Amino acid sequence: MVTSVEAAAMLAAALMGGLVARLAVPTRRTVLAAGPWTVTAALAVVAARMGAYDALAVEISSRAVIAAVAALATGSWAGSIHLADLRGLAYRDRYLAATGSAAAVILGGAVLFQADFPPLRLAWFVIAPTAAALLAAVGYFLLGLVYTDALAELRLAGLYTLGAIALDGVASAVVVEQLGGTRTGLVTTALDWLAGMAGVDPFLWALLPGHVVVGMAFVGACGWASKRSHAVGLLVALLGSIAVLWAAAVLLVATVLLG
Amino acid sequence: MSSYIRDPVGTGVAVLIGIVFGVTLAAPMLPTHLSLGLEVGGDRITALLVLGTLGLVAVPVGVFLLYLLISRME
Repeated sequence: MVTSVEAAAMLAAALMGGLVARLAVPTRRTVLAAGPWTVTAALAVVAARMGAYDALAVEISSRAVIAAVAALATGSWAGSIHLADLRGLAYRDRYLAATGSAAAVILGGAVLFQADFPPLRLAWFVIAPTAAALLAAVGYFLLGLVYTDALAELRLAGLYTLGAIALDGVASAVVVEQLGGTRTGLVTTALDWLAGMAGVDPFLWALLPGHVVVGMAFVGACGWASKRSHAVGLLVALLGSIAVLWAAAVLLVATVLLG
Repeated sequence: MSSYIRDPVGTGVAVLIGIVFGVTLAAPMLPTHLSLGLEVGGDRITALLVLGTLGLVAVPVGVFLLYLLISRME
């Protein structure tokens, strides 16, 4: 069931999303610029799980938090585009990245100092993105050898999308194999299910090549779609990277900070 | 739709909007009093490791914001 708070937040997100859709066309940079707000949404969900918003008079669910952050992201972007418009400039994707980075830094700092956890676990926040970036670079290079058009179409957006899928795998492996958690990210859950069908109980670090292959296939498909219709391919890459990165960030941050 | 003029004013306003929204989202968690206590983990090595790790996360974010503010490439 959808509560009234969730309904209000979703309505606000839909309205603001519609406003942005009228003002801006997704470009390769939009895919990257959505990253900071994706991390902010993940941090806000973790903050809600920590009980940060319990003092509010209404019950706040994860869905309401996501919709509220989406409304803030699209609303602030629409506002920035309008301001740029008043000054006679074309809209920029960097406004989306700038608002998101500032919000993520402040919310991330607040969550870090609020949570009580062994401080050495912070190292996973450095290790996981670094490992994901290395895997993404290898995968994108290999994709470039077999399907160069995808690189020409997507450039950094493709590398970033591949990195989000690799982070899904690294975060799941860190959570399950190193920190003793049970939950896994979106792509890892699917790969784990496939391995289970084949009768294998996989060591999650060993699934990482599978993530690279899935990422190469997904980015290749986005590149193929982008060649036919530029906006469609970019929109798929944008939505895919947001969903995968959000799930991986919630998984990693919640497990590292809350155990 | 691309223009090659750098836009530190618009980006600065966007950063300010982001700060306002970040503070709004973090409002229930903000400390009521500020202190410079760095007593994390108990011993010195742990505190240094924590500060180093936070630096490794914070420096790229700072560089990225600077890039957004002053970069001409768009």
